[in-house]
Amino acid sequence: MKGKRILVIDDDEDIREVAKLSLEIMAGLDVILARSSYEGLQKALSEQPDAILLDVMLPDMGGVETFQQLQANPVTKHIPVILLTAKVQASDQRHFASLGVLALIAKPFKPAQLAQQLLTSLGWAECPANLPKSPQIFPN
Amino acid sequence: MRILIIDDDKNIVEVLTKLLLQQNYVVDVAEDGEVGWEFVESLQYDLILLDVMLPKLDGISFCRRLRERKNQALVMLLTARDTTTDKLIGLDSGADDYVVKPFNIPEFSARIRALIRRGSTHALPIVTCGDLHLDTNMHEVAYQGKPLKCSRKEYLLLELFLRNQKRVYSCQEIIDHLWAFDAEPPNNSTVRSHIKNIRRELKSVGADGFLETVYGQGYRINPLFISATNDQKVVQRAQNLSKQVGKQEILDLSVTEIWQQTKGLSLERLSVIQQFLETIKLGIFDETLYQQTIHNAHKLAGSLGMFGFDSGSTLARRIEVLLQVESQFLLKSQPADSHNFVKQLELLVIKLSQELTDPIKVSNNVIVAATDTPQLAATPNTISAKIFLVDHDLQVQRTIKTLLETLGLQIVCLQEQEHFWGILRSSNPDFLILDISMPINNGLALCRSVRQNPDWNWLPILFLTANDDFSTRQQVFTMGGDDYVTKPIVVEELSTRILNRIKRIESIRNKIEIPDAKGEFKS
Repeated sequence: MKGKRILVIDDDEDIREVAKLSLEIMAGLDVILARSSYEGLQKALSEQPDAILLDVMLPDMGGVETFQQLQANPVTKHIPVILLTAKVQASDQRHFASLGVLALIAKPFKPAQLAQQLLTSLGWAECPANLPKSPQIFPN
Repeated sequence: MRILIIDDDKNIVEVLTKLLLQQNYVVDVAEDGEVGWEFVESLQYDLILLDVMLPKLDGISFCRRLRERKNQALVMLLTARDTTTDKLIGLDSGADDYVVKPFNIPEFSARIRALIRRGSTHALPIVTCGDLHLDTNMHEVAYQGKPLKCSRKEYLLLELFLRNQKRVYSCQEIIDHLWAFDAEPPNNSTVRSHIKNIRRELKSVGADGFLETVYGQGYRINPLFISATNDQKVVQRAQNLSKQVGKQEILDLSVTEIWQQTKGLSLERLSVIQQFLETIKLGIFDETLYQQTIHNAHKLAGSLGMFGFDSGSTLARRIEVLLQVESQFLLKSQPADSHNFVKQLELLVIKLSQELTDPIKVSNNVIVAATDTPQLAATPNTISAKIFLVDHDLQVQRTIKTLLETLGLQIVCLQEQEHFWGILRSSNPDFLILDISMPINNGLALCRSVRQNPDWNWLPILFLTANDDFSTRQQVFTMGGDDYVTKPIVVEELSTRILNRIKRIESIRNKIEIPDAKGEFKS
C-alpha cells in the first residue's frame, strides 16, 4: 500500500504511536498524526489523506462532531473515516455506524491486526476468514 | 559439535586443537582435571579427550566422577600406558575409547568421527533437510545443488540447526554451542549478524525463509522446509510466512519500546483511580475527581490491551462500568455507606495495580501479545516435576508460580534462605531456581553449597539474574549453575528452559535406566 496516506486523530500519545507503527510496518502506509479534533481538521484539509482513523473521545469537540465537520466540508467529504472507540456497548456501536462512518474499530486494538482491519474496511485488502465482513465493526 | 581437550602436554594440545578446528569442531582446552571438571559442569560436550595422567584430578577418577554424575558425554582416553590392564581400567571407568600415545593423526581423526557416530544417530557425514545438504567431510552446504558461501561460524551454525531440526535455539544457546570457552564470548548481535548472513545466502539460492524467528525464543528451521521437496508452493508459503513473522517481530519490539516510553502515562491514570479510592474510603466524595477517574479508567481500558495487558483493559473497563452504574448513588448519597461498592472497587484497583506493576508482566507485554501467533501456541506439557524456587521478591515468586502451575508443574517457594535445607529435603524437588542477588547469602553461595552436598549435587539449578554480563555468566557456571535467565524474565524462555532441562534429565534416566533422585526406576 505504498503511497496511501492515513490521518490518525487521537489525543492519546501511546495510541497514536502504536497505530502509526502498525500501519507503517504491517501495511506500508504513510501515516500523518493529529492530537486533537482541531489539528485533525486542519491536516485533513491541508494533507488530503486517503483515509482517516478518528478517535471518538477527543477532548476538544469529540470524534462524532469532527466527523460531521469533515462531512460538511466539500474538500474533505470524500475521505473515508473509520472510528476508533473504546465504547463497546452495542447501542453505541449502532449509533456510530448510523452516522455514515465506513467502519468501527474497537479499542484496545491489537497492533498486529489494526492494519488488516483498516485495509479490509477500505476495500484495499481481501477480508481474511477470521475477520467479520459485514457490518464493518471490528471488535477487540 | 563441541569437544573438550583435557591434557597438560602443551604440544599435544596444540596439535589436537589445530586438527579439530580444521575439522570444524568447537574446541575448549583445560590443562588439569579440576579445570576440566569446571568446564563439564558449565557446558555440554559431545566428546571429551581426556589424558589419564593429569594434575589435580587424574583421568580415570575424572571419568568415574563424570559417570557418577550421569554425564553422558563421550570420553576418549589419551595415554602412554598401553597394557591390557590399563585399557581395562580406563574403559571400566566409563570411557568410550582408549588411544595410546603417540598416535597416528589420520587414525585418530577417524576414531573421533566413528565415536561421534556411535554416540549419536544424528552424526552422519551428510546431513539433509529438505533440499538443503550439508557435507561434513567436504565442509560444504548446498541447496538444490547450488552451493552456499558461508564463513566457518555460519557453517557451524547451519550444522547445529540441521542436526537438531525441530529445536529452537536462542542466541545464548548458539553461543554456548559454537564459541570456545576461553574466547571472549560474542554478544547476541554477533549471532544475529551471522543469522542475517546465512539468511541472505539462503535467499540467494532460493531458500528464503529457511531459518525462522520464533519470537521470544530464538531461531529454528522453518517446519515447512523440513519436509519440503521441490514444491514451489510450499517454498512460497514459507517465504510469505517468514516475511509476515519478520514484520510482526519488528512491530512487537517497537510496541514494547512505546510502552517503555509511555507507561508513565498509564501509571498516572492508575494513580488518579487510586486517589479516588482513598478519598471514597474516607467518606469524601469529590465529583471532579470522580469524573476524572471514569475518564482515566476509560482511557486505560482502551489502551492497555494494545500492549498485551488484556486483563488490565478488562479490569479498567469494569472499574469504569462500576463507577457509571453507581453514579446515581455516588452523586446523591453518602458513598462511604456503600461497603460493597468500596470493596468491589478496591479489589479491582488492587488487581489492576498488580497487573501494571508486576515486573515480569510489565516487561513482557510483547510476549503476552506474541502468544497470539500460531507458532507460539503452548505445547501441552506432559512432564510432571517439582520445582523449588528461592527468591526474596514475592511478586516474582507469585508470577513464576502461576506460570509453572499452568504448565502442570508443582512449585515450592521460599523467600528466606534460613529454612532452605529443611524445605529442600522435605519437598525433594526435581529442579531448583535461585535468585542470584538475595540478601544475606547470595544465590551463588547457596548454589555452591548444593554442589558440595553429595545428596543434592545432581540437582539442576537455574539462576535468575538482573545482569547479563560476562562476569556474571562466568560466576553462574563456575559455581555450578546449569543455566540462567535474565530479569526481566521472558516467561516463554523461562518455561522452555526449565522444561527442556527436565526432559533431558528424563531422557538420560530412561536411556541408562538409572534410579531417579527418589531412588525409583522408571518403568
